[in-house]
Amino acid sequence: MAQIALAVLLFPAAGAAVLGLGALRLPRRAVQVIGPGVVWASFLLVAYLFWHSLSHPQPLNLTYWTWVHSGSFQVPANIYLDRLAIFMGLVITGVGGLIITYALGYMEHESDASYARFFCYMDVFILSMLTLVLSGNFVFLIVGWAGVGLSSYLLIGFWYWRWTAVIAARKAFVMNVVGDIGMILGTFIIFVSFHQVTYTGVFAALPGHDTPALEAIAFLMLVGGVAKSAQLPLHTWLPDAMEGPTPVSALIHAATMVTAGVYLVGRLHPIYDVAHYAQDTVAAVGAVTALFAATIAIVQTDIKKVLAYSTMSQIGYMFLGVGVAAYAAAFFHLMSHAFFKALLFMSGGNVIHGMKDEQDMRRYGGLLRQMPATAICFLVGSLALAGIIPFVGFWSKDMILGAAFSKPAGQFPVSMWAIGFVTAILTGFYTGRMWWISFAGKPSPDRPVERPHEAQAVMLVPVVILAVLATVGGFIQMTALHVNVTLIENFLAPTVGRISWSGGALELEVTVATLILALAAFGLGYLIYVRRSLPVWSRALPFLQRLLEHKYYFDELYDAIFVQTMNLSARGGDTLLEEPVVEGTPEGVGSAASSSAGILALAQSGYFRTYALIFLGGALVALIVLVAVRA
Amino acid sequence: MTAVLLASLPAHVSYPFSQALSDLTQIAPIAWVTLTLLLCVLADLILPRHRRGTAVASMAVAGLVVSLGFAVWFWYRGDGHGAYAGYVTGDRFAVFFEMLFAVLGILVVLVSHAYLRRRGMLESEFHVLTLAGIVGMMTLGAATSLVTVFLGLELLSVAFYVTCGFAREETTAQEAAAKYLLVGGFASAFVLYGMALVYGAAGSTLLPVISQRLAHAGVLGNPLLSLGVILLGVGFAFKVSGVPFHQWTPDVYQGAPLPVTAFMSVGTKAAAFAMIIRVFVQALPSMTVEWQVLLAVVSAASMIVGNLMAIVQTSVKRLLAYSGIAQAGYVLIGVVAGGRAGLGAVLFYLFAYLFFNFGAFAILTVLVRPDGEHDDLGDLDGLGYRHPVLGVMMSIFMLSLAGFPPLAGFFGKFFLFSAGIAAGWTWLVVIAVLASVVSVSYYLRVLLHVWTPETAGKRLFVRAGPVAAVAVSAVLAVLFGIYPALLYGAGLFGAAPIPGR
Repeated sequence: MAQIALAVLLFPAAGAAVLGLGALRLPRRAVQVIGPGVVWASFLLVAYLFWHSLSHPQPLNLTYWTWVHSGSFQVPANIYLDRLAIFMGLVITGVGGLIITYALGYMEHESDASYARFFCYMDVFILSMLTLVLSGNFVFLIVGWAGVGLSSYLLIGFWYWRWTAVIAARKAFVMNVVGDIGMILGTFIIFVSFHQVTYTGVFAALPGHDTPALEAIAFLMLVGGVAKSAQLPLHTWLPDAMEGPTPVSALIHAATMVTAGVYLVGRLHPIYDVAHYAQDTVAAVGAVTALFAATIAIVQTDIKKVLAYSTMSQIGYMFLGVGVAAYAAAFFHLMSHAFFKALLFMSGGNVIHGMKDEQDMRRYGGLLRQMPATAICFLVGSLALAGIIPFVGFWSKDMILGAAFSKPAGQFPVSMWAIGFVTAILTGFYTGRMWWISFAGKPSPDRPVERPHEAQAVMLVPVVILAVLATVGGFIQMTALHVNVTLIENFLAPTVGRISWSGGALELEVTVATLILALAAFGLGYLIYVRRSLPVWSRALPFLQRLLEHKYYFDELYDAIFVQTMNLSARGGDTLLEEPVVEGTPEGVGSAASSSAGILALAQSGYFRTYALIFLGGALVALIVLVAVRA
Repeated sequence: MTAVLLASLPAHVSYPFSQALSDLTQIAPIAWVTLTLLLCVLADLILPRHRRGTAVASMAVAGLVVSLGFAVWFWYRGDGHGAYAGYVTGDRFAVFFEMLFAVLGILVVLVSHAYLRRRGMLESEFHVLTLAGIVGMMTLGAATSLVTVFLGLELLSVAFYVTCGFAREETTAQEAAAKYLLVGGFASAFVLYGMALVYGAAGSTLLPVISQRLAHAGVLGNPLLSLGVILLGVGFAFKVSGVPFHQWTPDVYQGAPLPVTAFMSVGTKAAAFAMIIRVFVQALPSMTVEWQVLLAVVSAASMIVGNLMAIVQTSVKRLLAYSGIAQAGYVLIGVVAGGRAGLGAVLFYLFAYLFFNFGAFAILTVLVRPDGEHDDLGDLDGLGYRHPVLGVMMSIFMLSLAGFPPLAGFFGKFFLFSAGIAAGWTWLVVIAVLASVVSVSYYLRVLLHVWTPETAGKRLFVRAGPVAAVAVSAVLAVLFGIYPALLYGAGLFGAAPIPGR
């Protein structure tokens, strides 16, 4: 078992190394085999681990060697292989494998070196993400956490000759580092409180531990999770991250990396179960972000931006789920979101690919006729996103909402549910708007391509597979309609436990109401944007539209608070400090060092007599020092 | 060597065969290299001219591998003890260094074989001298008498005096050899006077006996003994190229052929530290105050001067020479801190340093052309694009020298510095940390040249031997960074035979 778990990591590592080192020389065919091949190899191994865990539910703590041993600080290189890790591994390598295979076609126009570089980065990402979920201690968790941040940075800025891509990459990196700092501080507190950094050790030492310290740990860890998962208020990087190639958006900024925050809370659930304030904060952050992002998505015109905001919104649901301790529901939604969001991004990618990189959906229109397969797949994804029965999104979202609605813990969960309920209706509306504008009606006169072709097989097959998964994937957990199929909950029960409260009165009625309202909102888009029989709502409320188009002015706010202050103080420092002090004194620190080296170099004359003299001088100084010490 | 040791025994002592065998077993790795050396000389006389080089090289490697095998075996048995009436020992400390030098010897022969052919230099003589140097270094690790210490010291020095001037047509090489001989003789004189004074105070050359006799009060106020310690310290500081006794280093490193520089930069330094630990820590614990202050000052000066001077160098060999001076300063912290943690850190660093510093020099052999070495920073331009594997390995070496995790150099510094802090030498560690920050600038400057996007340039001289040596070094530099406990544990075991303070 230990070797297999390690091999899961080694495959993408080897793939990345080969592609990275051989980037200039490997033939394209080799890149096409290695890039996705290693991910599928990992997938098979994870599938074996999954099969094995069905009969052996107890978690394995596999320690390979001691990485650091310094005083009381001990970090083993270990893997904590429980069902949560295997579940995440399946999503990462399975959906990841599909997306990387899809990218073979999507990235075909790149030069050979760029092509290899792309798959190298993708394999690095898979490696980092697997490290993140398989790590058995907080130190390697941070390693994986930083690794996904790095690969996300590299991939957002993949087209580095585009200025906007570079800026977006930088923004994502800076935001993520804010989160990393939170996590690292949290780990410090963990080490100070428990004197160890392994999950098993820390969790075993939890009972009876001082709660304020746990609250602090949980809040600091949450900072990391909020940044990585693009939740309020560290969310501004995600929409900009859409500058990366579409497969990147599908894999990293929708299906896997951005859900790391949910994984983190789930992994640390023994801490969050005790730290109630932090846990409630998780739920509140999630619910507010879900609503916030859904309102912005309504006015977006760029198809990838709509998807980006819907991602934020859906991850908000997951946060809401883990925040009310309905872990199985949150992870179910994580999986279902990976299916339908990857599906949406990839079929959206087919459209973008066919439309010569045009992303403004007002310039599409009527694509249903020319790209029928893509249009149907996109519709499946949209309905799943909107939470329409029988698609996977319905079962998972309503499991979260149901759990929040009937949790017997005062007013808080119900108010969270109310926000989620409103969001669900908005989701139906913006999803419908996106689909109707893009695929129905008449072709837009501004289309860059008159007659786009359906995507090639390598790009269509993964999309169809995901469409099937998004259609039937929900049948493994049907608690939303009180059908007693609970495969996900059963599988994850040994790790995160079951949802401890049962559905209350009215829950079923509420679910049906949500479904009907979301479907109605979806259909409303047809009336507004295709039949044009209803007026566009924003005409009546121009003020609201401007607020939403500026995304509640968050970018402007951050710019004013952080960027401008920084620039101002930098400029002040330049005139007050830099010029008179640093440059006035000997030309900065670097030149000070080299000029002192110049003085020292005088002694390095090359003459033996100088050397002997200095040698002797040194000995004399030593003698004098000695006399001084002894005396 | 055996003959020399036998001659030092009084005539009336009976010396049965079983004793002779037992003594020889204790120094088997050294004796085996000596035997290989003699066989190599013979082979050089017998074989036809065009076969000599390769044959002697293979014999040398084979002999060193066997010697390494002996050493590893003794390491696991761990029951080594004194031999030859206490003049040498086969304890774990000695065996640790025997393993280190056997590995180093193999790497040196691998690199020099291709290098000498490229430059058209005499080959078999070179390998014989390499082996002689290895014997001297191993002797320093195993020596438990001032006499044996001096024997080993001179054996290794003489080998280097010759090999430094191996490029006989080049004036720089001649200058380097002459300078090294003169300054080296100067330093040897210091060591010898120091030894004489210590002997005068203690009445014995055996290190454990010296330690015992000087432990008694009364001898300690002896100013001549203090003078002896200072003289020894100066000579030792010369050997590790500590400031201000370092000035030969850049000149000699630059003038000597690359394999010699690589060999010397790692081997002489490790041997000298073995000698320092044997003589100062083992034999002169009563004089700790004297040598500690001396070494601490040398350490601080080396870190400051070495790192500053390295910034302005344009020749990579000179740059690495100054970096080596600075690195010696770091290692001295471990000696000054002492104790098992300090000495264990020293041994860890020396073994890890073997790989990443040797590798950095050895990579430069791909730039060698028949007319010279071409080791300017500019000559490295685009190396990473012309040969990505070499570029990555050079990056590993430079980052390890600079002390970036997760490479061996990071943990080397970490263990040294934490030992220093634990022993209360905070000011020294503060200097060390600041100096390492400065050092990053020039190590990264090398990488800047390596990764300059430029694919044009003279053809690289890539041969299997040097590349294998470099690759092994790179892999181990990474391995000891990922799994430092492996080597640190060995370092602690190796330091165990030295009596703690």
